[in-house]
Amino acid sequence: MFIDENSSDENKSDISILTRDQQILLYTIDYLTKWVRGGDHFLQIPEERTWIKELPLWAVIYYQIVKGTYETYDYAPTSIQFFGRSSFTVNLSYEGVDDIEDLRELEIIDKIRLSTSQHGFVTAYRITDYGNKLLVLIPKDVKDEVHGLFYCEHCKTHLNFLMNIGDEPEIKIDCPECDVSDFELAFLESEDVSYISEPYFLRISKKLVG
Amino acid sequence: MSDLQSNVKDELSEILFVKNPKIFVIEWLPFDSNQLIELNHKLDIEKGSRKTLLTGLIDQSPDSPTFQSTGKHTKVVVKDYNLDNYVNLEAIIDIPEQEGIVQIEEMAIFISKASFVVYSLNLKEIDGKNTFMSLDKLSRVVADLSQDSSVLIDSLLTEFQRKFLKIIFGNPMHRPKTICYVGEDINIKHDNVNDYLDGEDCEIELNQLLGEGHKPYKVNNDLIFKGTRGSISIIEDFTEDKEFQIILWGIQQAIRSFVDSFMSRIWELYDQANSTKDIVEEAVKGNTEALNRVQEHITILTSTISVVGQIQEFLTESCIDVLSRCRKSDKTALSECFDVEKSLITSQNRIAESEKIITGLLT
Repeated sequence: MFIDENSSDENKSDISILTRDQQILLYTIDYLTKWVRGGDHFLQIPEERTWIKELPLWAVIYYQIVKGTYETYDYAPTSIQFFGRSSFTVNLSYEGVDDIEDLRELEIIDKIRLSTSQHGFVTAYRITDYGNKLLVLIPKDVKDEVHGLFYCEHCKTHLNFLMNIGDEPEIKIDCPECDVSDFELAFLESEDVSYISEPYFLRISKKLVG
Repeated sequence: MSDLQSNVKDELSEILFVKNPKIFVIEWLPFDSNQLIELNHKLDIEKGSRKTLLTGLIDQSPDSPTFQSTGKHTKVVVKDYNLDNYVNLEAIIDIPEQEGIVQIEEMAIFISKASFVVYSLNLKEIDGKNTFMSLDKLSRVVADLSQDSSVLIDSLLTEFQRKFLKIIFGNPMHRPKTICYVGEDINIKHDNVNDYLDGEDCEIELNQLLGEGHKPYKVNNDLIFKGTRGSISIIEDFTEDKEFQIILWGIQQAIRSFVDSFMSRIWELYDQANSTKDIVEEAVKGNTEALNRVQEHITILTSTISVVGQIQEFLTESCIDVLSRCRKSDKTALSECFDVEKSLITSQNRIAESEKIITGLLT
């Protein structure tokens, strides 16, 4: 992708409908459909057939929040059922989820639902033709910021994205070359707060069993 | 307690705050009179209400004079019980947390032979703040409670029940639960409840706790939000009748959630049965490798289908029980808002329909 320096004012006003966070999100979706497919060597599959699944997209948004990429996103532990069975807590950004919906409403991304072999459903996204037109208008500094996060800070190797969904799921972003592990992805670990609680005994327990 | 800390890596934008929240974590677990009597024996219930330390460990070396524990214990005090009907416990969770994190986690647990468990507590303080507590922080407390309640109840379950949970959820420590929050007040009030669905900050914070697609209701002076993962009720006068309606809705939601997982498992078994049929055909054709595998496949499959059939019976009885209590209760504006009966009948129909599939799997 490149910046079209000669883009028209009309097109420039199109990109201005997106906030900076939405631009980062849009460019991230574009980047992920290529990265997850094979790093920098991704040209063998026609781009329009590639969709990014919801769960890895959420994991990357969390990774970007922790790295300070977004201005307005935060995250909260949320219980998500994987394939209709076990329920896991993930650090989900509802601001991110909301912006994904906004991009859909603007017809910049498409959403697809597909069944899984475990009889659950998976949601995935891809960029529309209109979205592709907007992509070229995203400022270079936004693209650079997104790019920068996917390269190892130490050896500059492109990071790997690993997802293993089993009884003990694992989602990792790590460097294939480097032993230094600065990019531990705690997407599946809820952060603790301190709190104090006291028991509350149901007043209506007899009514529930009597 | 101003030195209470958190390890949240991000700066939170907290919008909605609820006054003096109570939290009810509700789940459906297979219990009947026999399971309850077994639990009461485990609690050594006839010996009085002294604190008992419990663990989920199984004694694998009955001949050994000592055993090693994991350090994860639950202190339990029996408050009230009926040997084959219910037990009411007070639990103190003693699970080591990270340095700087202080969690004084005490809750009540109500276990019924109708197969529902309610963990309930008053939240006194989060990160050194009391009275008004943010939904953002509440979501973090509830993530913790969901995990800890699984550890806690695991130490009270029989092996029989653990097997049930493993078959339905794979990893039984990670299972969905319904969470109902009750607060005395909320910091942002709208005359039109639909203003909470602003598509922005308010709605996003409510989504965090209730899931997307939640709906707000105004019932007299009370404000109710219902979602797929639970409810938030802002109620100034929390009467017993209101408590009953909220808990009853939570129980039906927990049944519904369990039935979702149960049905997914049945469809998986359906696929496995077809795959086993293919192996049998290969074995009949003389494939020796298939012949070796077929016996093991059939044994596992029939055993799993048999357990699923038993769970279906537990679900059927539980639904009948909860439905009868729902029908006996007074009709109020709040009960109409929660509309528990309609949802229970839907679950009941789904459970009944599952019987046909289970029977088909066995033939």
